[in-house]
Amino acid sequence: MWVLASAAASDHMLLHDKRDLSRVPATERAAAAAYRQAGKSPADVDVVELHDCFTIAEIVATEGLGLFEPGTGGLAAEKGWTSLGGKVPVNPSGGLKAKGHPIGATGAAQVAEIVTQVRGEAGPRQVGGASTGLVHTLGGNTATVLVSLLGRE
Amino acid sequence: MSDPTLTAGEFLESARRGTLTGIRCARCGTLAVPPKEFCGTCHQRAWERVPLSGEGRVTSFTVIRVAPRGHAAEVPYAIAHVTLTEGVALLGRLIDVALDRITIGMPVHLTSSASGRAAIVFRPA
Repeated sequence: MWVLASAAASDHMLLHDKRDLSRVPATERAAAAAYRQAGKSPADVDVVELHDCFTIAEIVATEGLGLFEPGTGGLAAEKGWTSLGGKVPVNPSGGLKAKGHPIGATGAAQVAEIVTQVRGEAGPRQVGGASTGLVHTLGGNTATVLVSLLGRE
Repeated sequence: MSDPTLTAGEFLESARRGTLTGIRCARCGTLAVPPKEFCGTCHQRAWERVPLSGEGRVTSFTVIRVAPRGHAAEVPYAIAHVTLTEGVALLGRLIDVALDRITIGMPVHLTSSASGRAAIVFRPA
């Protein structure tokens, strides 16, 4: 198992200081840096654990990570593109809302899930053939975002 | 920070009376509300006080039905993200409008906080 990339980015803390309520610039910058470090693109990502602390957060994150075009993150979830068997399965662990978002443990659990997935040991929630996974976690009201890429090669 | 240009307490006290005061970076002109220590644009600490109109438009809003402790008796109530005419934005309580009649783009202005529960209160203009 390799840590292919790990990148952080920051932004304004307060909601009303954000320039666009529908985007998280720190996610976009951290993702761009992580893809660059790993020499990979969003199309190379097989499985994602992202920070869905609220329903809308998943939609904004799938767009910010470059997995879906801006404005289509909601459609992607609705169409099942982010489900097991979809184009890019998101949060096979159930995600933050399903696990009660234990702050601090959340990020570690995301990494554990991606390692489990890439090792092919995830049992009934296994994403078939997953060899590259992405972890997206944030804090401080999207003021700090960290994106990591883990893979077998 | 020995001599703040505008403290959070002064800002909130002023807002409760219906007057909005912000700070402007003397170096780059960035406006900030509520007050903060460093300019997020040029990272300097050269603030000056500026009066703000308190007038703006609703950029987004939500209706709180499960309130934090201390506000449970007030539900349901609306919180609006208001972009002021000066270009900066601020979150505040939106009163004097039916919750199903709030629209994005609706003009609002800051009003004094009679109840005292929320410091920053807007009402339809």
